[in-house]
Amino acid sequence: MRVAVIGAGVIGLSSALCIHEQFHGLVPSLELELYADCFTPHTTSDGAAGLWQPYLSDLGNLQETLWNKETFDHLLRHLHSPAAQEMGLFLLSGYNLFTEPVPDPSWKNIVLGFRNLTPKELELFPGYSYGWFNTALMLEGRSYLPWLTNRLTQRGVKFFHKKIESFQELFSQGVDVVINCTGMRSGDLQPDPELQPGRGQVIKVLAPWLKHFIITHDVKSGIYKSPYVIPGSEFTVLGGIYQHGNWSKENSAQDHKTIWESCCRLLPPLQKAKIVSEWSGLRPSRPWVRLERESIRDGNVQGEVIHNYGHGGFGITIHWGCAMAAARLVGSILQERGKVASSPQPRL
Amino acid sequence: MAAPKVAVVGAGVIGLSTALCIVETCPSCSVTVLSDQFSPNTTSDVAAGMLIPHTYPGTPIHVQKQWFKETFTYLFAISNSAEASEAGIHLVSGWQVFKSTPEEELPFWSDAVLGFRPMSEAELQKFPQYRFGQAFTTLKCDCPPYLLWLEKRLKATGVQMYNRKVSDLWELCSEYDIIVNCAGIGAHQLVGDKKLFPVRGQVLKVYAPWVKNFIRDGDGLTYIYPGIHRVTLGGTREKESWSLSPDPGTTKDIFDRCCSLEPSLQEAQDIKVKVGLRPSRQCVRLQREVLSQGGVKLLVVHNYGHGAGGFSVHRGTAKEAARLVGECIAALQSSSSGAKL
Repeated sequence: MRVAVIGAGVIGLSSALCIHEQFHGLVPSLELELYADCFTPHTTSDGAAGLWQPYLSDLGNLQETLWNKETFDHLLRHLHSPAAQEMGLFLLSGYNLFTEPVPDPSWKNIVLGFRNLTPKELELFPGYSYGWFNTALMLEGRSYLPWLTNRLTQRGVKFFHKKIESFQELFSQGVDVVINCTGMRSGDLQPDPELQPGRGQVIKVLAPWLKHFIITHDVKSGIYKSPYVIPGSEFTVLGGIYQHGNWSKENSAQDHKTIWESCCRLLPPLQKAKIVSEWSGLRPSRPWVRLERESIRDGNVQGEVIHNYGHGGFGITIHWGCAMAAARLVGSILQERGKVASSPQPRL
Repeated sequence: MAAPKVAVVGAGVIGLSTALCIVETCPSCSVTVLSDQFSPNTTSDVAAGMLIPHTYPGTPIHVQKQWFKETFTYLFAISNSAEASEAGIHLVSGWQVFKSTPEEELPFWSDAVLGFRPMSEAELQKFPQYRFGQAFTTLKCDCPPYLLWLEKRLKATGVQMYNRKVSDLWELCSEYDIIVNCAGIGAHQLVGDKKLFPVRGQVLKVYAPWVKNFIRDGDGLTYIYPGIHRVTLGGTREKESWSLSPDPGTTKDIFDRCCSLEPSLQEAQDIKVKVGLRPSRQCVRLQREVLSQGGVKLLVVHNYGHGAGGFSVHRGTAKEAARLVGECIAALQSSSSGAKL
């Protein structure tokens, strides 16, 4: 059975790996291919700082909270493995800051050592009167994506540098299942008015003295519209831009000014930091992640599509839970086609 | 009386911070720093510079606490200013872990650092051999940056600094009115203090920029302290060892111990080995002394013997030493003849 993943960001690569890990041994005839027109270091995932942190509120979407938790736990288990450094995986502690008290987030028990900030700590951040401290994980795209690519290559997964124009294109070539991990450009394959760009811009600087992430929140404005500073293994990412509906991937001078001034106000030592680069990207935003199966039939061409897109600004945070869910959907397809023995219970 | 001439002997963290405090409290003084070593070759340059106090058995706890708080407050302000990166001061969070629950669950400094609390079960899972731990946020002074920043501030106020080995305080008697002895381990020879003894520390300074949290075994022997560019891995506490040569067996031992606390350190690059002799004493010698020789008196303020806790209390002891210098000046000025006592 041929399974084709479209997309080589964190979602596409991790879905491919998860599917291969789970079914390669069980289904000898499984052929896994990955198609993308864009690979690391040019994907949206590469621009992200890589901090594991969901949005403040899960909006009652328990499914996504579980996927976030699965991802964190999976990564935590890898923390002491020899691969951690190559994966770009490490622990990072830091601060979330607010101008007023807020309810605890859904992820307070997922991260390590979650607690409220003390008055003395808040002295560091004039203008903010409430906040959290916790230890979370960093998973840097520029290391993680190559690592995933290497694991897939080792497993014999074939990569194709190609822009896929339609699902049918792959079905007519004999692909049975397509995993649609096309992020922002999913609309090119199938219109989806729920999917909108959440444009972000970031400045990368050298600030090796910074050992904590600092994320401020303006609850009224919304997520990522308030300055944040996230130190990576080499560079520190400064951000705080979220423009819904803006498709531009050009750096904006106005946004640069906003980011720079607000981050320097937040953290005065940054004034001396050397700017290394600037980048804009489009968060593939959706009210909730589209992770579901769809049967596509177009004339005599048919196949199954498993959609896995719309992860907004929390793709890295949620990726493994989604990859597992996508793999489970592949599992159902395999069962239906008798490729895999069904579970001992009788089929309903 | 002409502006009092003060010589500070020693250019480690204690000498430089003491000189700065004297300049701040006595602007009319002429202050000169004399040392046979300057950064990057002082004992302070070997240390990680973490603000985690060492307990001196011979000093009242409330005094140590005062010194620590003063130092913490002073550095906290710098860490949040535009000078932070030049001064090498930054906040760092992490964990102190214990294989068996310590006698004292709350150290005297727990309310002086930030966010001090016991570690959660989930956090302890990262350290399978450890049963108890404390999480907190504290400050780190990276050297050479901090010492170079102190030197820069001193020079800006007109303080002169000379590379000079002082073998006997009396050498300085004709040029200076007050001598401030911040010679660290050098005081063993300089003033013949037999209560001062070295505690040899070997450390590794490695490139592992993904390590952002500190980890310290409560026994004080194994620690991982991330600095601006390098992570300091330690260490040893060898009493009465005067050897400044790195020992390769010790290097391997330190590396292994740190890797068992933080496995990702296996990937650390460019390992540099350093040795320092902690100038150890039951208590810091922070006192005035009037030396006498052939009718001539020499006013001395001692500020040495900080052992493993130099960075943690440096500003507090520097301020006290500056206060003692003030007392010396008052004593000089009250002398009826105006000539040296």
